[in-house]
Amino acid sequence: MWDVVCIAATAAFFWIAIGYTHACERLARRKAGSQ
Amino acid sequence: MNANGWFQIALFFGVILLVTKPVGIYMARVFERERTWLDPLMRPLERLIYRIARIDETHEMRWTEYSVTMLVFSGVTLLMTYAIERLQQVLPLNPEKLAAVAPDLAINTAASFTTNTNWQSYVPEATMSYLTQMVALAYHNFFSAAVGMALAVAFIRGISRRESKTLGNFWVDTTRASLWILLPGCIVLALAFVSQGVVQNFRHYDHATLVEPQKVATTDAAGKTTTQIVTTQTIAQGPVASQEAIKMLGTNGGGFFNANSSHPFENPTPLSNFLQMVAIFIIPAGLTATLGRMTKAPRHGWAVFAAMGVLFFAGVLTSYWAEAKPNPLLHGVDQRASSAQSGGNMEGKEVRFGIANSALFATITTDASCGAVNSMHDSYMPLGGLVPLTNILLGEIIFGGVGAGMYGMLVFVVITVFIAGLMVGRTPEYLGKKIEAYDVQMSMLYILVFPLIILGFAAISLLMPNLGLSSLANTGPHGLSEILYAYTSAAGNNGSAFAGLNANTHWYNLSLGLAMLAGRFLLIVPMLAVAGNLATKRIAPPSPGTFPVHTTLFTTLLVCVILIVGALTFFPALTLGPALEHLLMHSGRTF
Repeated sequence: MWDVVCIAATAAFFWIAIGYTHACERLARRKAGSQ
Repeated sequence: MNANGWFQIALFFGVILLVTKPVGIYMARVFERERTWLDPLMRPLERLIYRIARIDETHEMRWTEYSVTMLVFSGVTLLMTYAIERLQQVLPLNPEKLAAVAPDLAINTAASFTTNTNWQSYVPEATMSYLTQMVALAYHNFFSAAVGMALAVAFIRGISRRESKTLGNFWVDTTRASLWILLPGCIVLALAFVSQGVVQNFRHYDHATLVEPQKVATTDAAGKTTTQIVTTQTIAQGPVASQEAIKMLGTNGGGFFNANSSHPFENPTPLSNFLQMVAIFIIPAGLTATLGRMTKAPRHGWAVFAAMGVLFFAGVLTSYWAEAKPNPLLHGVDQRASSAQSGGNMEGKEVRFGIANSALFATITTDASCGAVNSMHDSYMPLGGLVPLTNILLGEIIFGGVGAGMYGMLVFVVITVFIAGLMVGRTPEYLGKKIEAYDVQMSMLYILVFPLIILGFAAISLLMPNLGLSSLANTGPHGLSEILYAYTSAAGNNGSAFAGLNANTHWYNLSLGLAMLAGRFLLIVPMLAVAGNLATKRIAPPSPGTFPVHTTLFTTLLVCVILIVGALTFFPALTLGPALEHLLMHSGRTF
């Protein structure tokens, strides 16, 4: 049970970090578009 | 404080100063794919790796691809490490038949080594098999360091490239960092350590009969004390020298033994101690020259080196001064340095290293994100302990971790240039590139996420006694320092411990593991965003309004920005911790 929780939590963290990357990129594009 | 101590500190910095330029130029050649003397040996190996892994070495990555590749690589290798720890009892190279690592400790350790933190909530020689140490942990020692270097070089390319959408290739940068820099460096260093007496074997642990049996009292969770007579001692063995080399060169810091670099099998002589300290700083210092070379602004590289040097000396002098002074609470005890004793505060320090080399090591290991220790930071005087804590809280940009120190410092450079631009009323430019709103926003995100992790988790631990305080050995400001240090060390990916806190609990294993992951990856993403954005810009020729980034004024401003950001963010916490403890100590109270 603990193993599943640990693996799922790790996968979730890295999934969020990848989403964070794309969010930062979207902000860059929005900034570039507004200039 | 004596002439011998000063000489050793000066000698250490002199050696670092001497090696910075050649090492930095060599690393620049490696990452720029210029010819080096190791090419005949490493180039075929590199090509073979790319062929097996189907990597196109000519492919250039945008910052988002670079970031996602790094994240996926780190996530997958983290889970592989977790699996090895959980299965070590059925895997080979486990002569002591050590059991599987508990899930919360296994995930904490996997996160710790993936993020270059090497925080250890366990006794390594009693928890990890030889296979786990060599395959799972030492593997990360290499690759977490190589990833750090790749990221630093990606940031430098962002500064040096003009109107480019790409920052390089993550796989190529990581492979070249491993093959050309870390691997040869570690072979030389491991042999040097073996020559000094660091052990390297696969033997069963030795068992020795004590000359004088010891009476040991232990108290269980229910408060029941039992006394037993110990007649034998287990002397742990293992492949230590090879792991020791990458532990220091990769600024990892995770010891083969629980006592880390104060253990005589890990760090037996003053020369091995000196080599370990040089190994921590050699790559981070060299990267300043790499910065200068790749941006074609060598004097800028030296200006960054100077800022790091100023902060380094501020730390080591404070630490040495605080530890060399007599303890004011020990009345009537001779604490003066003499030929018979080191003097000062020797609690938690090895006699063979003394005050100067302990204070120097503590400063170096926390300036960088190493975390190896040759003395116990918890036993330092309050102001002596303040130095390692502050070094990490400043973001470990004083030379810093391998690669991580450089990109952290470059984020501060962006902020400094921005502030300088505001002061003179011109558009801020960094080496000809305009610093715009997005660059500053991402840089501030990098700077703000770090204290949020540390102060957030520390506050939760303090406010929830069942979670955070139940395993704390000390009360008052010292207890606060222990909790603050744990989260600072985790988020800063340092890995050293202040001790006094049993962190092998569900709460600390999981929360510190999350702090390590967040402290590494949630900072890397905005850093790469700045690099990617800078790379797309054209380089404007210098004008009378350009702020030069190679002058004493720039270095001074950079140091001030680092100190002001650090001081404003963490001053209240430091006041309630080490500063208050110092004041209370002088009124006779200890914790």
